[in-house]
Amino acid sequence: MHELAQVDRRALLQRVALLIGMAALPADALAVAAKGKGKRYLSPAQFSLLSAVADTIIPATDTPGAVATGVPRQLDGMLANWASASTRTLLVDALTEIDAAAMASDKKSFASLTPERRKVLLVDHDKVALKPGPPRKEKLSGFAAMMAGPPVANPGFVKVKDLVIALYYSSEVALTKELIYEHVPGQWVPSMKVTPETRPFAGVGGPY
Amino acid sequence: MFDAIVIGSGMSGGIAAKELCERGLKVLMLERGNDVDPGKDYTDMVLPWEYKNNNMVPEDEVARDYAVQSQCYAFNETTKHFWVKDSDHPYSTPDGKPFTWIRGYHVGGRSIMWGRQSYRMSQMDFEANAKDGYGCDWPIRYDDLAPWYDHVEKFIGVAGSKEGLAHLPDGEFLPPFEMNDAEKMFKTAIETKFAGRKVIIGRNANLSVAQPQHEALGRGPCQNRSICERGCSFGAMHSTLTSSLPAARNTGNLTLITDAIVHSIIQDPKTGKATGVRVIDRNTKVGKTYEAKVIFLNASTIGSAQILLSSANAANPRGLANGSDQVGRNLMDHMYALSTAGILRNGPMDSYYKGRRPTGIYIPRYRNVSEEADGYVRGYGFQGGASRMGGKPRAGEPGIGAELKAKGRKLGPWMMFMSGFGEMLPDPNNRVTLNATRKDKWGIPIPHIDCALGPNEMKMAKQILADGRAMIEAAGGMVINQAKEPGTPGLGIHEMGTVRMGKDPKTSVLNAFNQAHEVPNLFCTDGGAMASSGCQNPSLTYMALAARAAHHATEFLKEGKI
Repeated sequence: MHELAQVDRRALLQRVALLIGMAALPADALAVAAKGKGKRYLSPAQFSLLSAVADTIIPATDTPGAVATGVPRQLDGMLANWASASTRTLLVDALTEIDAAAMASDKKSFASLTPERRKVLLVDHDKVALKPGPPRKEKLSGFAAMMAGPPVANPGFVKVKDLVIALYYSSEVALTKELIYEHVPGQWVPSMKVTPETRPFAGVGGPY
Repeated sequence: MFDAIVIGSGMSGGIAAKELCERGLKVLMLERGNDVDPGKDYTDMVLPWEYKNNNMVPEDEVARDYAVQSQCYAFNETTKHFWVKDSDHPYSTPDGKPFTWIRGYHVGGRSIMWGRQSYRMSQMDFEANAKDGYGCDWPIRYDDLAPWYDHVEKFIGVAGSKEGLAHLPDGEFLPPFEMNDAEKMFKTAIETKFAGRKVIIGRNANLSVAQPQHEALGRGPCQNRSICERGCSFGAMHSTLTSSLPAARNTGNLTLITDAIVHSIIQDPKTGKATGVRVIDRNTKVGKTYEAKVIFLNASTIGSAQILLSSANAANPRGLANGSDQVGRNLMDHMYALSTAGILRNGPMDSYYKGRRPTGIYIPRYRNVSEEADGYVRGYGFQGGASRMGGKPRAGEPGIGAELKAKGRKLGPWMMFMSGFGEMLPDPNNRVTLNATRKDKWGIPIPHIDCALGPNEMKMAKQILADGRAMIEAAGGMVINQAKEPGTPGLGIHEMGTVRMGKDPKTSVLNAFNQAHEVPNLFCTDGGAMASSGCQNPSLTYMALAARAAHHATEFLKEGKI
């Protein structure tokens, strides 16, 4: 796995080099994402925080990012409509922690930091969050047990990150501009030559 | 009065009804759940960006209503309506012995959400009980069922390759789906390094090419979407709704009544024959009786046992057709979720594929066939497949920002995934009984399911995992994730054995024609009938047994024997 990570990293740097010059999202654009209908859970301040976190995890590049695709709005809706009380607490606490870290280091709310500074903080936060954690309380069976992966130090943040990624990669933008999605592929083509333009086909979105 | 009543509209009930209708019988099909309207209830046209809650069912709702059903991989917001609410349909298990009973109560039953893998049992499987002494001998052998496998395969449409294996007989196949390049590489590696093992394309009930008999029922070819469990608007996968029901309706002989929960089967004490069934309306809870000359019990393995036990009468206090005391016993499933995943380091990096093929690869059983087993009888097969990583990034890997997006665009390495399906022995102590005190909303005693894996299974599970690792490594792969233990019994969703076939009325419930030894006009052709489980996905066998029994039941009726 180590070998592969090295290969990936080099390729990744090439990609990033190509992406230099992309505008970071202006802070006031975060407010645009708050529009929409349906139930909400977060306070305006919490929503700004979530939007800043989502924008930092998936920024606009040569394609729109999480905010422009409505991820914060959808996640807020999921807090109201989908999450149990304990998941809400887990997720909101994870967001609050990020804000507290920003206050401690920069004396500013996370949302009011520059995109560059947000990223520096969140990259570190992500690394620490993914360190090994204590065993899970719940007993998982079947594929759930296998696919759950090792327990992490900050399951709340990893869950926030997971939901942001999952929502973004279910969006029409990500599935048509980042990846290729065909709802009705028609034929099965078992072998196709990879070219420099080849992009991965998306799965069917959702949590998996 | 009908000629026949078929209890249940799922995989086996659908075929039973269709076959009886086509033989000219007036058939009443009873379904305990609601009707399904494909135009309204199929969700296969929902796009990913239209998902509600990103296709996840609200957590409190899962905890309250779907604690068991949500353990199935195919359970999500778009398929939620195809699973029972556990809160409405409880069952009990002993403390510390969970059983995961996954099901759907609606027209078509689990034939809508099934995995579609379709394999024949072989002579080896039908001889297994007689040879090693577990369970009771099957009253039939492969040759008895082979023409009915042909018949069902042609009707439902099974894509597959002819391999000439005695222990996994070939069938009437549609053209196979093809392996991708990494799977072909894996096949070569395994077949070279392990003499006697084969890697073949999974045999699946999706129309690779629709034949005239399929098109006549409005079915079209598979579109390679792999969202089959939402219902297929193309009719490309076999289900009761796409195939059996339209065929049965075409005869003009079918009456379908939904929302009719069968409470019990009525027996005439003088003749010993079944005369009809008592049902309770799901919505109004009003009772009603339907009569027929022949009864087909296709309520699913646990449901059928429950009905027979609930049908106890003065002469049969232990339950109908239960002189042997075998009704409800010998509950089996397949060991499931014994999975291994690894990166194929030498996978063909210049190759990709297109489409979401609705099947994977299959490794037919080799333990106790061409290779010895590590201290257990019977064996297992593997299902799996190779796919390229890439696309949606994983939260569990470090990285955020532009780098995360860039990573998603990059085609990743080949991942090989394989999962063993292990045969479970018939054990009379693995048993469904009626709960002595608890009843459901309709006043019917709930099933009590007492089932556990035994020592043979645990030894087998160990070798399934060892073999999974060894094969991925032999193909140049590096294992990155492996299960530690089998899923809870039931999670294979292949439950069977509670109304078993056998030669001797003292030790079995059904004879060679799936006819109850003690009730000559009662037939059971669902998973309950299985005297052993093999390691192959069993639906095809249930359907072949159903078609065969329908043929014989009609003959017996004509001859005045029943």
